Amino acid sequence: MAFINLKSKEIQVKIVYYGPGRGGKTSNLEYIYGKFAKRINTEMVTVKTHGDRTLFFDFLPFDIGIINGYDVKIQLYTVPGQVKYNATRRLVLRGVDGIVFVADAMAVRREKNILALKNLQENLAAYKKSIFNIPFVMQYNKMDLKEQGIPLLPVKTLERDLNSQLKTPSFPASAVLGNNVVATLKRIISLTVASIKKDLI
Amino acid sequence: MDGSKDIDTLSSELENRLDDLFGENDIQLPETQEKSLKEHYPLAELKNLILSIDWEITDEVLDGLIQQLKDLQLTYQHDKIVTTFLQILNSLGNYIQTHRAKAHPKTFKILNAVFSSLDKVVLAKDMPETDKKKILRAEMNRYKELRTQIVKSKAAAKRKAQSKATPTEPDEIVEKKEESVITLDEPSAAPPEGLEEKVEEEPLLTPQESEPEVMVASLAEAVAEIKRYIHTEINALKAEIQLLREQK
Repeated sequence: MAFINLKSKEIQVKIVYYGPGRGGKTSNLEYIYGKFAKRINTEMVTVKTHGDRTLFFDFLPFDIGIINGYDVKIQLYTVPGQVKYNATRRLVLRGVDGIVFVADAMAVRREKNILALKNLQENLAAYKKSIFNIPFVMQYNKMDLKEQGIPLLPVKTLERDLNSQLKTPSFPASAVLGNNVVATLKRIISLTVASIKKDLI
Repeated sequence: MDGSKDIDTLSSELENRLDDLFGENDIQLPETQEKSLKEHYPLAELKNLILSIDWEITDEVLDGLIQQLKDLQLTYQHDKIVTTFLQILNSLGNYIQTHRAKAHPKTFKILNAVFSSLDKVVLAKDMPETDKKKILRAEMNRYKELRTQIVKSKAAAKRKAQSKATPTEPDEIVEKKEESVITLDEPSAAPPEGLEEKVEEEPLLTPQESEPEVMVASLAEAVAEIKRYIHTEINALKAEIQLLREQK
């Protein structure tokens, strides 16, 4: 549930980018920060290991201004994708309002995507949240690797593997090049804000 | 104003605001793009693992290395040169996994050198095939040289050990045994199958713990994770400092 302060008319919406390790969650946030930092007037917080892997989480807060009399603040988080940091992932999910699942379209990562989605379902269940009821956007990342001759899973296969039950909006994307990064972000913000509309009106 | 009108107003207001904030008219900062490309090039994970081996040889890192090499061999199955590089790395990885700290000291140097050459070949898209082959041949020679040295040192050690008991065992047998330790593997090409069934078959989960309990447990686990991480990083830094001192 989003944090709504009726007195100060402020709403905080928490969106978490989830997915397998090295799938491009941080790249999504880096692209947004790199391109729009001046416009959204913010700083990105990130804690990385020696090998540039996300240790705790990345955090990118920004304000989208007054909507219906409420100051809407968006907080984007990523989780560490490595299997061993599940407790951290679970902590980051606390109070989540919307999820972007960043799947890795590389053929060799097929199983890891499925395991990560399953892990998300488990971790949401720990907070009595259902993966089927939360605002959710699926992103199939690394589509640019096709040009390098790297085998990718067809979108049809990714949809069957990951989205046949969820049936959420999905975007083939390249976080590195920025393709569909903004579309993914806009969609998840719209879906998440729509889910709390009743409280806003 | 009724509820539906309010919702419409809200939606359009939100859409307009998002368009204002994230309109695609900006020019992307080249630095960011370049940095991102560097971070997500296909060998990034392999590079991390090879650097990790330099710091500390753990089961986790070695398993990760072997798995990553398998993944990359599948990814590059149509590129013979890259595949051969990966096979050499795989053989070295298997050798390190078997012998750990007792591995020949030059192995780590050669592992890094082979990776650097592979990195060069993968990143330089315009490099002619002949140049790539030349680099590969140089690494093959280093690798063969290492193999010979391993065989010789093992044979010498064995001769020394056996001189007390059976000093007449022929060297040939020893050499054959050692060759299998560091033989190049065939690239595996088996695609992942039956993954759809896995998702379908697994039941939906039901929460068993209350939220505060989950929070406390998660927090404790997260602290433990961070402690483990800090410990690993300190060890890595110590090793780096030691290395710098030795270089001086």
